[in-house]
Amino acid sequence: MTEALFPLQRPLIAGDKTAADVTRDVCRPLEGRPTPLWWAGFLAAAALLGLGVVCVGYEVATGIGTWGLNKTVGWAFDITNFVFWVGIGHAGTLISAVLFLLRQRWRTSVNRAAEAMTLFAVMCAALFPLIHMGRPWFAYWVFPYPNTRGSLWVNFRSPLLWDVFAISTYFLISLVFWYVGLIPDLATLRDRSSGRRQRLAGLFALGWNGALSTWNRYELVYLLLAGLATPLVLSVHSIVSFDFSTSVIPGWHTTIFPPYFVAGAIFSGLGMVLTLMLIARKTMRLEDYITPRHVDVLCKLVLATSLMVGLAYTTEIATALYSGNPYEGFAFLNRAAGPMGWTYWIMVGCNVAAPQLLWSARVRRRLGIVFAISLLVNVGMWFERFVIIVTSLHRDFLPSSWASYSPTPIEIGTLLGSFGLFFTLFLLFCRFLPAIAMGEVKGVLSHGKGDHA
Amino acid sequence: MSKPPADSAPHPDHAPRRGFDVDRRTFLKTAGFAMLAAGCARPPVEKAIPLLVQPEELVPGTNLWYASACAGCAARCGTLVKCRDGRPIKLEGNPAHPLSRGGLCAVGQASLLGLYDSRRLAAPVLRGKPVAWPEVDVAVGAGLHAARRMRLLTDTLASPTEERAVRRFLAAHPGARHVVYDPLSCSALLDAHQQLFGLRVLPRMRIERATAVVAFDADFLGTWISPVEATAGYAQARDLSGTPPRLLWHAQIESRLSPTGARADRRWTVLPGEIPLALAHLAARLLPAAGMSLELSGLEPSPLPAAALDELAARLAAARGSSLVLCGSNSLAAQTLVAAINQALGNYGRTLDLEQPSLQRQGDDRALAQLIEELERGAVDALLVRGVNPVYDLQQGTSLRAALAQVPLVVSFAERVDETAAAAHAVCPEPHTLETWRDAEPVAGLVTVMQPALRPLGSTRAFCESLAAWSGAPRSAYEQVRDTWREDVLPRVPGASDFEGFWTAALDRGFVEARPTPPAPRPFDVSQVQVARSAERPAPGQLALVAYPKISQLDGRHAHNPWLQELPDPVSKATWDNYAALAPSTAAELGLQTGDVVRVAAAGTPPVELPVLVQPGQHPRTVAVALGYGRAGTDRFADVGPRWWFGKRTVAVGGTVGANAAPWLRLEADGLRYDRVAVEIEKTGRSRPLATTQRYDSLDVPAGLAPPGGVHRPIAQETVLAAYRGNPRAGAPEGEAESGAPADLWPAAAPGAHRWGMAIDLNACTGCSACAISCQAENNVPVVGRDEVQREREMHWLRLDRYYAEGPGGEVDVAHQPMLCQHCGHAPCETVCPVLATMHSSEGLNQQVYNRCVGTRYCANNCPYKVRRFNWFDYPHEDPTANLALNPDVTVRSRGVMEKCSLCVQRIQAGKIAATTRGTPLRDGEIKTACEQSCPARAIVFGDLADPQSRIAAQARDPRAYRALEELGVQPSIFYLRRVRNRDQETT
Amino acid sequence: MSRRLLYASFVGEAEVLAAVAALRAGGHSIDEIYAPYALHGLDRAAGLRRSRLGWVCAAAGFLGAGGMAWFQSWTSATSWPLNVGGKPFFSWPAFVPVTFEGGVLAAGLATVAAFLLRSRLYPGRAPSPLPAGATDDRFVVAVVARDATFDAQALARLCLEHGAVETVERVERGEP
Repeated sequence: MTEALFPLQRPLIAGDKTAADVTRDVCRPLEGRPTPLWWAGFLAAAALLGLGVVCVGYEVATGIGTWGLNKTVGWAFDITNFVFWVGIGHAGTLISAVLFLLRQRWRTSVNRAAEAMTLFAVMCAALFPLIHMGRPWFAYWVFPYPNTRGSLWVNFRSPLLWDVFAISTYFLISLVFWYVGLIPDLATLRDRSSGRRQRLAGLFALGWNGALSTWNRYELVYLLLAGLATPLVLSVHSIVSFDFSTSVIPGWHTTIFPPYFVAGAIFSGLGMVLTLMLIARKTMRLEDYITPRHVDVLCKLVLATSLMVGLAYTTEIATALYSGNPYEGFAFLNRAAGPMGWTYWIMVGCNVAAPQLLWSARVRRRLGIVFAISLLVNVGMWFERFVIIVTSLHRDFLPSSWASYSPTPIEIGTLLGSFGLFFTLFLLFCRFLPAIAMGEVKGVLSHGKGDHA
Repeated sequence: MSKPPADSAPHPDHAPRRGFDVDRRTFLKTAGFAMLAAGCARPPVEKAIPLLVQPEELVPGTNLWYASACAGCAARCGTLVKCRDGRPIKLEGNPAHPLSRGGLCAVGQASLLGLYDSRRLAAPVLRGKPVAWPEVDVAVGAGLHAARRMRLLTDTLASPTEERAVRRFLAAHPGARHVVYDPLSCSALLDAHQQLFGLRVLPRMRIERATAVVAFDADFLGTWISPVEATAGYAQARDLSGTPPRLLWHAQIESRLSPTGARADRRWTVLPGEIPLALAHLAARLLPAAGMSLELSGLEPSPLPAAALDELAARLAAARGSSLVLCGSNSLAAQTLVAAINQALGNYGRTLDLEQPSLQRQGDDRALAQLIEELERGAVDALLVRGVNPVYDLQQGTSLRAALAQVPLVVSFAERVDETAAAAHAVCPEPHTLETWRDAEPVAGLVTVMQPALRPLGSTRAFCESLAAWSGAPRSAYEQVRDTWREDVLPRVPGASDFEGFWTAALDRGFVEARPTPPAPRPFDVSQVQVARSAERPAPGQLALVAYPKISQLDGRHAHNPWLQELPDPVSKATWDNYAALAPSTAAELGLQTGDVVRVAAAGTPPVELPVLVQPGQHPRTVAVALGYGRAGTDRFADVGPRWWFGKRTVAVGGTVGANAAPWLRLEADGLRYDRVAVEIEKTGRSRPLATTQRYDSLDVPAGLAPPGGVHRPIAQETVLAAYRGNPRAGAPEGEAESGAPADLWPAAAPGAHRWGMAIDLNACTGCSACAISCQAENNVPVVGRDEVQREREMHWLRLDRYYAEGPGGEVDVAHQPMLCQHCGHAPCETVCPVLATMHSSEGLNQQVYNRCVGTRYCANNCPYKVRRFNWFDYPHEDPTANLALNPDVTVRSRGVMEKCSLCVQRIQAGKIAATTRGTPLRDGEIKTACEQSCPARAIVFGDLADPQSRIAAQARDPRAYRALEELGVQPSIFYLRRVRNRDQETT
Repeated sequence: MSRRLLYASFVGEAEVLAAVAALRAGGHSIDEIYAPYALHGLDRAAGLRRSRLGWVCAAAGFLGAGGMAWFQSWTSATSWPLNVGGKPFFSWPAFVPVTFEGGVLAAGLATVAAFLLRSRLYPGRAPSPLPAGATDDRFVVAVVARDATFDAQALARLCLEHGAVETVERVERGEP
């Protein structure tokens, strides 16, 4: 039976907890007053968010010209941020769905937070296709609704339209998945609290009482959602990669993009999960639940996916040079050695070189280093998207149109703002909802303990 | 006939005549007032349309065409003025006109915008205060009466009516003298013919008759004398698709890389001061053969390599009688030598026409020098200045301003208070050419009427009207022109008797061909030839300076025209600035690169700071600076383009666009010189990035980044004559299949009634950029300002890509390629638009639906040609009055939408409608896109590829035809015809 | 009519499994078991059948996918065919991604909706009154009285023997 296999000989949860302890520990941060640390983080995040709001507001009111784009480079920070955040959004589903299907019970400590992370990341991502439009107030035109213009429908051949459907589907399914997982914990919250909190929790707990018949269906629904989310997560990032791979621009027009992007997405997502886990572990005193072993497993996954993207980098260069297509070959040489080569080497350094440290178990135990690496991975993956988008565009077919690109403060502010949005939401989540799936953790308390068959 | 068939306007046979009955006057008056109002308030003229009494012949929403002539420069090309609802909205070349033959240069196209310049004077100014005309007449009248020594200073008039008015004015004022000078002077050329033939005329160049042209510092395709005429002739003489195919051989010897030099088959660089010597050496090789005895011994060694001289001599000798040697230098020695060479080659009477000489330059720099001397002596009582701006465009500018202060009466006819008018007591503004009656005789015997298209917007008065008023016989310009034509022109036209009929025909056609006054050239007097035995060279560490006119700015008279300010220079691709152009080697020596600001200092002139532009193909010991910049009042452009947090102004308030190069001119004994023998260049350490529209200059990718076999990109393809003779497809990248139907994944879309396409002959295109401005005027393309160009966001739908390559002998080869939307059959842009804002028409057009566009820019990213343009901001006219020049047939795009070349779909529709109303099918060539119509070289052919008989179909079948990036399988509808250089061996 | 119920609360997983087995062996009818988390094996012990929600999921998935496929073809090829990049009006390969997404979306939402309906979970539903800790750490087994022979004390004793930490007897009124 899978549960019996590594890493489950040893307890998943340290400190020999009982179910009651779990409830108490997980609910503590929700019921006490917020720590100064939380306030500090929240205010910082809110400040960034404010900056973002100003920048986006100014851009929408004044024009896309407030960004550093030009006649040749039509996308840069905007779509880079979009792909970056969508990528982040993938680890949540991976951990909650894929690992669930693979019966990786250790996921229970991290999946709730990871799912929340997914939701917030997808929100940040969805923002960019909206504000990158020249006329965002007409954004609803991308939806095929009956109208008085014909009806004039939309262009189902456009990868951007596929994005619209993929992203909205992904967001809804993740939301439902996350919420269904929350219901039992909300019931727990309801039953141990009183007053407004109780009424609120009760409202969303939908009168859950843990009846076994309900649990029985619940398990199946959870399984089905996991089964749906897994192909979904693959399709979504494949579709995001179509934005580039179906184009004619050298450096975009590449068949390996779908797997390449999916691997990259999971890689970046795991990086972000690690970052957040390590922060939450410290700030919310959850050391017993997020144990070094969780970190260790995540590190191994990071290493594996890092090797995948490394493979992708080398493959695409080999393909380009071997293809004999001069434009293709140039695009990649220009990427590595052209005027924007430095971005390429940041990408390689952060995504391929740095994670190699994780081969060593000693490094994996040194949470400080792991944290640093996880940050580097985030940086590197942002640059990967920047490299793909900008270095391909800025020197394409006609040398007469070759151009450069540099961001304006507005663009940088918008990027920071998206981080502000993300962390604001995440901190609110940690404050008001159980950051760890109690229902699931309680289920694995006994693992690795003698009293379990 | 003065009306393109594609237009449903009434036949203008009647338009002009009935044009001046009460109806139209009342209408135009209303329109005029509405336009004045529009200066402060949009929306404009439309208010004036619903008249209670509709003027007949004016149908709202249709175009009226008036034949006129262009006053953008002295060339006076024939134009057709397109008027809509009472406002001129486009200038086009008059296809019937012998000079322009339908083409019109960038300056001419853009001069329309000058009409709607709200900063033009709307009333005369007396001592700085706007007044009414009677007051001015009293004041000026008094002043002139008192004046004994009166001088009338003008540029070349070349206008029977104005010359007549001047004659009468001088007659009415004894002691008055008329002094003519051209800011871009050909004085020495005229003087040379005075000395050698006894005629002070400019022989008319007949390049179309030539088979070999050697030009010394003459930018005849760009700015020299009559570029449109020259370009038409040049294209004719290089038409490989014509019968018989022709390919003129063209060599250029110059110090900077001019647009004309960029077309040359062979090119050598010399210092400006070396040109007379080079000519002497050439003469020494050619004159003896013609039995002309000229003492040519004791010459300094030639600045040109002997091989070059031999090649030139051989080519010219082989083309006796059909060759042409031109020289733009204003040195008498050079010009007499050139004349001698042409005489020796028997070119007079063949490629150089003295029977019907050109009257486009008549300036006499000696007279100018004398006038300046008089002014500085204070020996002038009254000075009337017209058409020139001496305080700005002469070296003595500043001292002149002081001198003018001493003159009791200075009258300027400038349309705005320019540098000279600022020093004048009275400014009597002239109306814009499109507001008044004028005429012109650019070439002896070719008399052109310049009729107005609307009433003056302001209270202005034509030059001839003012003169008449002050001669005591006030007469309107209309009457004066008619008088002149009745009394002077009519008699010269064979077989013309009834004036009214003659006049109507003239207005309809725009010009008449009259008998030129038969000139009596003296036999060529070789003894008068001056021989330059030495050259003027800068001392080591110094550079020679060349001040040159730029296609878009000429002598600076169009500095207030935003279209021209933002038009990229055909060679440097820079906008909104002039700059110190340095050869790459020189720049490297001095440790300078494009954008570094240097201080240029010459003896006797204050140093001027200019940004550097590294210019391949320039002589290493020269620095070239464009004239026409630094005009007063150009800080009006401070507010052109968007204003936002991080946006920079196009020009500082109180500053000027560029710097004035006139102080470097020299007024020598034999004429205005446009070079300085020695200037010093000094780094300032500061830098000012130039707003150029092209940042990478070669079709070869950077060596370090080139994949195997991927160094050169065959985008602008070319070959040499030798190869072309052997294989008409020479120049095609090897392994490319005969251009047939490429493999296709999808079934062909159902064919529509037409399949529009275009062919561009790279062998004819000179990069003159007339098409770009024509497109801008036709399609309401906005001006975005210096900062936006700097950010690589210029909006031109049609751009001229320019590539450098290394030619034979290390000289630089230049390739020009007009690049516009290629209207791909399998357009990558269409597939990716999520909202169907761009899709394909059944007639093969790639359509952009502005009001559907949400602005994702995906289409632009996915365009292999990068021809799509995005509205990053709202780009309103910096001068609201200029909105009157908008073409009502074309949507004005708002912020946030994508736009691009539509192949002038509005013209296509108009043509189809016209054909339908006519009930006969469309004729090939009936529809002309704006770029095609304006092209002086006729390099562009638009038509229906579905019609095998059409010109475009024939061009597409031409062995030279290819499509850019055809290998992508996007199936462009734009064909390019390979350029063929008249050379024997492939370029190294 | 009213029902008599006995609620027995357990803490240990082993205890509750054993107790349920014993109760069923003893022929008592278990009305419902309330669990703080899904304890594997408990459903088998309580003899629950596998839910049929999977069918809802499949059906909705195919409906959604089919619907999207049809809609794309109809808008692109029938309602308003436009020449886009020279591609055929019915360019089906381009329709695959949206078809797939449509299927997944429909399947996911339908499954959850069906689950909530079937389990009568809706906002504002009053949770059934249970002994404390039912959603914290206690498994509560509710045994219902089938007939008059229902002996609460005996039953409670049986449960306590199997390690119940607490037993409560209740009478539900009103509901049938």
